[in-house]
Amino acid sequence: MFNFKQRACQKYRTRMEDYLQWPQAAERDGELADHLRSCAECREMFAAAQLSRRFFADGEPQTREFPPSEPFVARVMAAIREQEKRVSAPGPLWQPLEILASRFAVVAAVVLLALCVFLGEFAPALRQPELASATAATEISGDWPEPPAQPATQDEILMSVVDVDNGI
Amino acid sequence: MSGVPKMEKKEPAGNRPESRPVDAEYERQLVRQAQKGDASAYEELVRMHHPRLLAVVSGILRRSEDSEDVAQQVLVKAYVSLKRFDLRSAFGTWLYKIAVNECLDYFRKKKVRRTVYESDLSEEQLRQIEVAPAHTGGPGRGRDDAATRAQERQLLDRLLSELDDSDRTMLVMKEVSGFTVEEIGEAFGLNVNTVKVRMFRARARLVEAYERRLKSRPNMHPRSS
Repeated sequence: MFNFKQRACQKYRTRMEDYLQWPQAAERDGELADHLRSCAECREMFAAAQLSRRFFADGEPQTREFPPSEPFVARVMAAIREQEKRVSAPGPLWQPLEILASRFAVVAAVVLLALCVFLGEFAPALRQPELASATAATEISGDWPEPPAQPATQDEILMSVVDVDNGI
Repeated sequence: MSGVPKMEKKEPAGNRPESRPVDAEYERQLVRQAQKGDASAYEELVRMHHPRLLAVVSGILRRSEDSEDVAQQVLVKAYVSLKRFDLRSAFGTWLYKIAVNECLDYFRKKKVRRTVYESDLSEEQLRQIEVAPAHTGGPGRGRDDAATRAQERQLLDRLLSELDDSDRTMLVMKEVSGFTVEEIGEAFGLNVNTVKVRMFRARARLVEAYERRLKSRPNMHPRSS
């Protein structure tokens, strides 16, 4: 409902812009006049738009003249000649080097990017077998604690019992 | 749009295109010659169009001291891209399209938002400025009073500075430079109805800004419209 009203108002507003110069003529446009009677928002906007014209009528000089100015024409043509000269003039001697350097920079950036992508994507996969064997080796040797040495003789067994009893 | 009478064109500031009749065929011929690299033909085109171009740019930029530079830039750019101009529209229309873009670009670069600041004016001046349009009986009043005119201009500038750059440009092109909505549409690459709706909305915003000013000064006389 709201959208429908908004669209209808928009249609009338384009017409109101046409009538701004002769607001009385809006009265003769029956459809618009009916809308203005029924839509307070459009009525206010129409009044505001008429007032806005008065700001311009009061605030703008009525006879602002810009007489033909030969110095201005000469300045424009000089600027054009300058522009043309700049475009057609050969660059400095080191310009090819500059171009080469910029191209090299682009190529280097692309190569670096490709290298980063390659390392990020494929390097872990390449290192995986290496890692797997290292893990296996750790499992066999590294992580388990060494078992205590077994007493070899009867004396050693007795000594260890005495140690335990003494709280050593 | 039946029932809408054919409106006469407003003729402000003597800047209307009709005020300097340009022979369309002669202009096309000059454009073709300039496209082939004839600088003197382009110089003639500059001579024909620069007074109005200066008026339009100066109107859009609100009498900025950069108006001449911007107008010059417009003419240089037009020359540079003249080979791409296909002569489907008038040279002037194409030129004002470049001018509008250049002015909007200028606003973007300079961020020109407010041309007059309240702090620049005394309380009494402000009071006079803001009461002036309410008491103005029409364009005839106080024309000889330069101070009043300057103040009314400042009020207009200040109200316009509250609008979006392109809305302000559209309004100024219509009200100050006397462009038709069709010409404005071409310059902005918009259809006529869009231009009308945007201008109508911009006018309402202009008045809103004015009324906000009145409300912020309760001792002011209310607008008697």
